[in-house]
Amino acid sequence: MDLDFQKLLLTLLPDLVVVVALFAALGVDYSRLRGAALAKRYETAYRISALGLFAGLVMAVLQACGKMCVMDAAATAGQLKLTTNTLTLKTALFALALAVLPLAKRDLVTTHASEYFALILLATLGMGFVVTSQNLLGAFVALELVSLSLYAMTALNQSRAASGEAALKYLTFGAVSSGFLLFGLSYLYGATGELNLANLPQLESTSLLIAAYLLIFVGLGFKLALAPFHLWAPDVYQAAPTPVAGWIGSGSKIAAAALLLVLLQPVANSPELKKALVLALAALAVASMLVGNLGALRQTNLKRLLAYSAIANAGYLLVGVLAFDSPITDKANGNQSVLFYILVYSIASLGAFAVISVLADRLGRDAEISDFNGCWKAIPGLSIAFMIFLLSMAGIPPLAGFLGKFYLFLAAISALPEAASLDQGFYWLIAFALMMSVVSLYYYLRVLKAFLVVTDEDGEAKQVPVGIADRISIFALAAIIVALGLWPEPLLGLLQN
Amino acid sequence: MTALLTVILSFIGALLCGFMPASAHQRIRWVALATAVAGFAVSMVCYFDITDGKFQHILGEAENWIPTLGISFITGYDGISLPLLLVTGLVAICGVLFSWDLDNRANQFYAYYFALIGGVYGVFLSLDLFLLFVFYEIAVVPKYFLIAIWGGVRRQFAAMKLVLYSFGGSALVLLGIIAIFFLTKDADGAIKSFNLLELQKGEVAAEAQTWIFPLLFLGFAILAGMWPFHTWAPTGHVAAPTATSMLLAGVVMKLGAYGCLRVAVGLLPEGAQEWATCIGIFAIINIVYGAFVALKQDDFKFVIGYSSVSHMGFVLLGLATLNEIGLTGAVLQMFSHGVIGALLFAIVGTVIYTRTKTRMLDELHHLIDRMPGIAWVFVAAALASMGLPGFSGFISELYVLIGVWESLSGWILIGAGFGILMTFGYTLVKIHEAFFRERKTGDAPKVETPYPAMTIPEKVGITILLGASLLIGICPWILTDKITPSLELLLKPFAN
Amino acid sequence: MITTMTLAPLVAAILILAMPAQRARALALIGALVSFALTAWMLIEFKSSTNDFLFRESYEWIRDLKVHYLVRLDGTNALVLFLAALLAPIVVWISWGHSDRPKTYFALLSLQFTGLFGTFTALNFFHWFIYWELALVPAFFLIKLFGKSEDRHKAAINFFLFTVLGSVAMLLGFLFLYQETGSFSFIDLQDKVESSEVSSLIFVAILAGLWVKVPLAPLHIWQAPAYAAAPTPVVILLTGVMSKMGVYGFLRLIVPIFPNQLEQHADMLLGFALLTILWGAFLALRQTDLKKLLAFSSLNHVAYCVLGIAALGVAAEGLKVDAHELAKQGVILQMFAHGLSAAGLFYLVGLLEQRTGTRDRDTFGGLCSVTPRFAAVFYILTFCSLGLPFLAGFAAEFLIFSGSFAVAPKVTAVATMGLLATAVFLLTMLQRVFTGPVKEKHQSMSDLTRNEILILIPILILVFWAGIYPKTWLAFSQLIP
Repeated sequence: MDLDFQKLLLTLLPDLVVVVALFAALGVDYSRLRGAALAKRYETAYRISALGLFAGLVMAVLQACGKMCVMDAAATAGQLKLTTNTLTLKTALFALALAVLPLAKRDLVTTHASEYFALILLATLGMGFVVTSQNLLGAFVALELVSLSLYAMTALNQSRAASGEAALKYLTFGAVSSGFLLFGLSYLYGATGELNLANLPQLESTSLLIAAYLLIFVGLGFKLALAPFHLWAPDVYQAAPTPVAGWIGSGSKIAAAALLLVLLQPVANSPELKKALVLALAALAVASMLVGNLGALRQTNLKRLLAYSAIANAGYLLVGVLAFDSPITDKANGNQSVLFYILVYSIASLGAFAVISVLADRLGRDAEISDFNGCWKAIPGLSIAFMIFLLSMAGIPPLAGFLGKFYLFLAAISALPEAASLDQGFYWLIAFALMMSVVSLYYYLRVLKAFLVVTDEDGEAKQVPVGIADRISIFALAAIIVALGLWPEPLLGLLQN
Repeated sequence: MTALLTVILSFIGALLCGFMPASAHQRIRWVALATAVAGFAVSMVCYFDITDGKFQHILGEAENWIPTLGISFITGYDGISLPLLLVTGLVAICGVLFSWDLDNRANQFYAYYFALIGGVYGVFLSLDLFLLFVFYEIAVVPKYFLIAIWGGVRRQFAAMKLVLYSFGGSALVLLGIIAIFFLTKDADGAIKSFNLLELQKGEVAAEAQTWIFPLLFLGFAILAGMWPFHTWAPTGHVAAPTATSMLLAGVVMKLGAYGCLRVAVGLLPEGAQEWATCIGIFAIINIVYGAFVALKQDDFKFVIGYSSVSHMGFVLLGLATLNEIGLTGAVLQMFSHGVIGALLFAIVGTVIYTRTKTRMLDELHHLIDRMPGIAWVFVAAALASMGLPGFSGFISELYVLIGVWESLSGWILIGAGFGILMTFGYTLVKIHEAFFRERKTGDAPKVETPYPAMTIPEKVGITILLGASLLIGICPWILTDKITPSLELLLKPFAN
Repeated sequence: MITTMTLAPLVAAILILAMPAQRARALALIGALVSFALTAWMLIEFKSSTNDFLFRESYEWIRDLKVHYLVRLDGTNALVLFLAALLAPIVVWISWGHSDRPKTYFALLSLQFTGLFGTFTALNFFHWFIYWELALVPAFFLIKLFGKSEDRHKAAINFFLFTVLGSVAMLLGFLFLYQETGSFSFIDLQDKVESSEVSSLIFVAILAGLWVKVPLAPLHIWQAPAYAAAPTPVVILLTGVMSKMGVYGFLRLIVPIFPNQLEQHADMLLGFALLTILWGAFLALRQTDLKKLLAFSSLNHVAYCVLGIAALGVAAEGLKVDAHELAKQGVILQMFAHGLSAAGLFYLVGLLEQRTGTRDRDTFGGLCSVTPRFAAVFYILTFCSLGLPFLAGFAAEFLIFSGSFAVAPKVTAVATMGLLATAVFLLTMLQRVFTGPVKEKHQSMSDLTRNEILILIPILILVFWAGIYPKTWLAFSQLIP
């Protein structure tokens, strides 16, 4: 294997910078700040990792624009797929991680200051590799990197006993799911003898392959929190430190969704296999939408509610995945719709967790919905931002979440464009999804009622100081949601593969 | 650009009001009034600019917004949207006037208020289905907050119910729109565009129209208060603060009817023909049922709420005729009910309620002595509402009924006639109960001090709305001259 | 000119609302007098002119619906219009002392005048219907607000709903005609309907509106309670003018537009007219409340008009006399005569009630000697109503009967029996009230004042005039083609 190491270095420069920052943060914390105040240690670790991540982000953007290191498969011997599409995802992941960092800094949930930030960076790195990887094994390893970091981070909340328990639950479920995924991948390898996705031959519709894909769905289903593999989600969302929950709900979803699409590409050319898989996907979609939306109706805890909403949204996502093979030239492209949606959803979800983190954790509350009563008076700006995030998740125009959902539906129909009645094609599925989104509006509005409608007696007590970095990250996320809703074309262009 | 100013100005007004401090409600209301007046002024300019039945002031071009999905930002208006723009402007102004004393969270109130109005204007101006849907939804969410925050009893429930019904309707609409996107074909195959002007060039296969039409129509008609999906309307109207119930009855219900006409009927002529009789029957049920339930209500606002349902039945009936005169009637009735419905809600919700502190009919009696001026104004409004000749309600019902004779069966007409009778009946009974009924002899005598007279904003608002109804009642050609040519174009596919 | 005359009271109504309350009655009177003066002048001009349509206004109104604003004075409406315009200032004058919410009261009265004048002059269904309904609403409120009896609310709403029931049926009928012919104009419809097939249902629908208004049995049950509940001036309007709206409607709508249908259904109409005559008389016989008694008498008398109209539908070929012409003129004269006599009688009963506080026939007695002038006028008007020669009622009923006898002798014969019953109950009334011993409590009852006489004089003059020299008035109705 001939590798141009200079080129490879340039290709991996964003990741390297982040790795350097990670070690720097750890090193500084372990050496110079030994015995320093916790806040100080957090601050330092935060600064170093933010700086590193920012540098990585800039480089990733430069790469995506083609200014640095041409997108050249040869540079990594075909192991990484560096296109505008994947680089955009990577950039987005880095940017989102950058929004997570200030949130992680403010709560001081654990004494492991630098490790906390290091784990966030590690997870980010892993996600970056998942979305760019072209190799089955590479993708799996990267995904495990993400998962392990997230398990560890979940346990970091020392103020809550449930944190460790949730982490254990997450770990056991996650480990099993990884096993399934690995099984599936190895079956795929076994059937084709090829690890590199780009070189996969045309797939026959064999029971082995069907089994392989079903196992993959199970594995990725855990990561995406699809029903019936969702059981870990509510506990983890509730017990993990809020920024971590936000990161689980956004970054890891992007990675898993991207991986799912990549793994499905080879199926596009074998109609029979496709038929079998599409059915399984549709079933998963229906189950997730049903479980997520109905489950969310009963929740009184905001974080748990968001967990169920995440399950439901994963279901919507699968509606778009059904159209994974639509031709690129088509006006409604399945892959593009899925990536757009998962990005938009992640931004909104992260934003919502950011607001919760700023409000509830600081007040030492458990994020029950009623804890947020009367927020409009104490912190009007954040309340409006929260409204934007939630309404985007609910799919209310002109916010990006609506466009994302709309695109998913369009894509699903375009998968079978000849369908002309309700029982043909995916019209029934969309009808179901739309019905479910009506249900979802109910619980979203219930939350917004607390934020924006109810007047609370102790409203003054909620006057929390909000740091400038938090403000910037939250308002930036909200602005992006609005901007993407009004003008999605640039992002859609970038996601065209 | 001119027409789009209505939307832009409303949103700017919403932001302005939203960013003003809540304590400055005395200034906020002037800003709000200015915004509303500006919106109406722009609509008036639109009125004078319209020359023929085609879309005017088309702004934007095909696929300029999200070409990936065939979505364009394209706006314009024709004679069908024009009356609705005007009524939106009028009701917006009067809504501010009747909320003149609002001081609780006034900044937020007007922010939501104008967000809603901006959305409404947007729907009437959109020439792209996606854009139309976006504005349609923008109009949904503020309603929730307007009712949930400033509403009366059971406001949370009513607000949630209203929003879920609206959203349920839009879900159907969205499904229909997506189907139209894929199934509208011209000679070269699927058009794959949301642009109305493009879509009009192609057509949907007849079998597909059969199932898409009811989806779209029902989706929109839920917002228009079609039986049996009308129940959001009375509860919502009753719980809402006055300005909001004015908007709901006056404008928001028209959004649904407009959608039925522009999208469902306009794009799916064959489906419409197939379902016309069915819609006619539902419309009759609306008229009669609404009137009957109104007769049974004790809460004055519920009476008006159900009367709105009943009157929207005439709009639906007009739509079911699918001929020029019936549809003209439907559009006229949208205007007419917009004005009169808003007026009735204003009088009951603000003018009477702020004085008597109750809306229950059995607690009101013989108000004619204690507030004669208000009582007579209400009587005039109620007469207008029951379609007394000379008011806009009559002329629009007349158009609708002529249309029904032309294309639907006589039985439906007899149903409508029965509905009109019921309307007369409940209106008179309720007027009697509120204003003329003597107190029961058993009650302890109270000191019958007269209530304070109407304030200036109230007088202005009432004059505007009642005047508009009279004006259109006597000179309907002011609107019909603009409506009819546009309907001619809309109905072209029906000629074949 | 006609428009000015019609709208003068409306302007007065608006001014009344804008001005202080003490001006209200003067403004109402001015409005009514302006209308009366214009009407009188128009009639004089009209009579001396050879132009059949001297006063005619026509403007395009609603192009979409092909609605023209068309009003004109012609043979059919001249006399009723005069009657309405005459009674208008009288009614205001009678109400001069009205003190309860005068602004509302006089504004409603004035509005009602406009409605009545408009109904009689409009020749296009569209604005005719506006006026038709406009005449109804103020009457409703006048009864409801200013009525005296306990059940005025119920009476008012019954009155309203019955009338609206008819109106809606009529509206639907006309919409059908419009849909068939594309016109709302009564004149155009005359030519167009004949040629096209119109189902009986439509005819009946339009008939229903008039049926209630006249009223004919069995849709008359709103009438007596409403008359009994209404204040005197309003009853005068109701019986003097509003019941004529129905009959006028027959002449304007049914006779020219639906000649064929009228012919088909003439028997039915004759039957119901007869039924109403007899039923009215029968009810009146048993009634002791003077107001209700007069109400039933009205019912009975107006039904003669319908009898005459029904006679127009029966073929009259081969007869020596022009039966149709006689009946038609009789109908118009009867409207005029009954309008005058009933208005006068209700006024007198109102005065009686005002003075004694009761209107039960049997509580009175011997008033002849106490109030001779009152009794004299009462006698004259009652005899007019009875159809005594030289009084208006005689000329009118004679014409009607001679017309209808020629074409429908049996029915007319029975109807004259009704006349006999009329004589019985009216004479009984006179006897009970004015003859016999004077009751103690009525000893001091005052006679007619000068003011009251002034009001009654024009009525009396016209009653005699139309009875002795009906030609003056028949000259108008002869213009009907």
